[in-house]
Amino acid sequence: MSAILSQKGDLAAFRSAMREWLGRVVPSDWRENVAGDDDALVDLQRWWLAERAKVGLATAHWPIEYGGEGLEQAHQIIIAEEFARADAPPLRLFNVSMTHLPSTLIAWGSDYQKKRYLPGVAQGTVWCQGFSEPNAGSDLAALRTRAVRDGEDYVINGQKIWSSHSPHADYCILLARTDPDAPRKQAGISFFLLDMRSPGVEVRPIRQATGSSEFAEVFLTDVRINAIERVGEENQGWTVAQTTLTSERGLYAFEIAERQRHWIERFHCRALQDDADWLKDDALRREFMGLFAEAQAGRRLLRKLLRQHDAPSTDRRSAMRSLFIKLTASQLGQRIADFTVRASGLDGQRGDKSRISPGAPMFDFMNSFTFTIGGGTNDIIRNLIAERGLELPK
Amino acid sequence: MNGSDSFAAELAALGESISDVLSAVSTRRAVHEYGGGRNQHDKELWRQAAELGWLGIGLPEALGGLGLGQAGLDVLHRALGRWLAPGPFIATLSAAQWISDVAGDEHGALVARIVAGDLTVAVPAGNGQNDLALIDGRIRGTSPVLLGADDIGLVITPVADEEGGILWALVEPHTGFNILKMWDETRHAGTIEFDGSETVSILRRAEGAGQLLSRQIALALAGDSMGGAEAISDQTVEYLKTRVQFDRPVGSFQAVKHRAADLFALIATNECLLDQAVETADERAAHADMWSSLAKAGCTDAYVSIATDCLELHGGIGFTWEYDAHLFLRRARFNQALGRSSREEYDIAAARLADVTYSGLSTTELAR
Repeated sequence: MSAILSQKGDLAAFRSAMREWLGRVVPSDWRENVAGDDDALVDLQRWWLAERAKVGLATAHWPIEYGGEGLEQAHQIIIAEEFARADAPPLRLFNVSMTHLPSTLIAWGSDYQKKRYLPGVAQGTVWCQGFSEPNAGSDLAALRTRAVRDGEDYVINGQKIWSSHSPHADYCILLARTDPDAPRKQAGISFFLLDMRSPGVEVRPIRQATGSSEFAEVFLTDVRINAIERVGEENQGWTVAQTTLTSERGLYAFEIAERQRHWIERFHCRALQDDADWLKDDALRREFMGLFAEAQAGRRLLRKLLRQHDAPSTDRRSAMRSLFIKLTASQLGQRIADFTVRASGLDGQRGDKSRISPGAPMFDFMNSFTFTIGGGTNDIIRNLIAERGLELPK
Repeated sequence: MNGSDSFAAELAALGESISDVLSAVSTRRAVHEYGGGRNQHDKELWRQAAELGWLGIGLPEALGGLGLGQAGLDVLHRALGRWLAPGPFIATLSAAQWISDVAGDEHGALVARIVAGDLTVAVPAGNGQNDLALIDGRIRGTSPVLLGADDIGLVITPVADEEGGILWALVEPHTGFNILKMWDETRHAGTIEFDGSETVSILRRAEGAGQLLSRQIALALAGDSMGGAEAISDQTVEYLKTRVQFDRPVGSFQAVKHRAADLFALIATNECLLDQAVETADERAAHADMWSSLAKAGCTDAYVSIATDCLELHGGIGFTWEYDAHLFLRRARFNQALGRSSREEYDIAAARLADVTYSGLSTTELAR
């Protein structure tokens, strides 16, 4: 057991052990080293996960039997807070591996699936998500990729899109239609675990509005998946996918909000040191204070959500909380980026190498659509709040 | 469940019991009729509030209070806002908390009269200058616009002494409250003429007293705003489910759904902002004033925006006198105008944030 994990019985000691370790291992110049270089960013994330694994902090919050350390949620919160405080490299490459996959498999997976796939994540297995299709975005349940049973296997044909990190992925969580004649389109979908090295899988990167290529199209032609790789019952995939989609509004969003907190404090501190013009501009300074307040409110909302897991509540407002978080956090991120672009003036429009990656105002602004559109566009989220939470008629 | 969770559960239960009483007493009909001067709803409510211990909810038990601090007071203000409760709650409860915090033990008798429901207090409604002067221990002049009641027994106001320094005075007025007609008819504002014959108590060494009173009023207004915003939003959603046009409930139209969703997202954010301000006030944190400023600006602005949208979402009926939407909108606008403006609050918050940041501390630590 690592020096950090051996302190898990004492939260304060656990936190200081983590902080000490982070102070030693996180390179202060990692942002400069990966600026504008997608491949270097992938290498950095693989290196960082391996460092975390060395001290048992890769997937520490998972059950012990699946490669975790069985830590409590209180530890998870400390881990996320300390990664954010240290500005450790975020592991977007492993987002599906560490967030969507475990919540889905722990709730719905077979013993075989949990034992086969979960322990590998700490060793650096990359998963991607094969949900959206060119004609099934907001209307995800309209997906047309077919899975036809053939003996022990399903044969998959179709096309997936917006699949983040799929060029690097080893596996994919996949939704495909098993019953095209189901009375409701949601009722004919199944959930699969796909090996990306299978014959018939082709990945074509898509360049994003930011200039980076994080996601790709995935073409599936007569790809065979054994039936033991189906998660949940046949035609029950839509229900399974709800678990997957909700998972990113928990700890994943929490870590983003904690990073945002430190980012805002550093931004403000630097502005004070530099006597920045926007501090002397009444409108901009007041706007900043409003954003600052909302960011703190958002952190509190997330903490309410996380505490809800301990004491589940059935009231309508609590049920909407994860949707509020997706809606408000993504909008706030965009408004903060919009603010920093305006505060940075003409200089902020320069696009040289140091200004085309996270932390640069224009990059953060262009990239903010990742959160307003991804994970269900905000307009779809508003529909869900209205229909599921407020019970307004369809 | 840890300690703070059980305290939160206790407060939530208290909030529900307060709401139960208010839903029976402070009906929409009673509020409408009160506005027209057709009942004494405020007096009836005040009597019940005293009997139920609400007037001492945040005060220490040694002063006859329930000892629930800012968090308890916040629960009450949210409920009062929810039910559009008329009466001098914001001014009197803020004043009582302020007296117990800054005015020292010799004012304990005043607090006891407030808790018993026998004394209502007026405080400055705005943040402007006033021409009250303290000469030879007597106050003369016209008070600033005060937030209070028609039967106030005590005024708290800043006064200038002979050297031009600002002191805080507690004055028992002899003359009546010159009530100013306001758009929001659920609370009273007015002025008082002091002729120098009143009993005056002056706070000496009251460092930061003005700011502490501003904080109390800011938190009260923010709580009232969140309660009201939630109430009119809930009511609007119910209306959208029943109002039929084009053979379908108007709430089934996506354009309407999205506006409804945004109302509740705005409430969710600002409730958490207010929680932050209340928690730091109870902790007596160095940055508590920053958060109360941000909460006042955020919550009262949100209330105006929500009450505006809710009136609009009702269509024609929302624009009528008989319907409730304008009551919320008037109250929202008054809450926004009371105390400091949002611009002033943001400027004060910015200065405090800079101070704390220069001292090398953070204003955003969360214990849990």
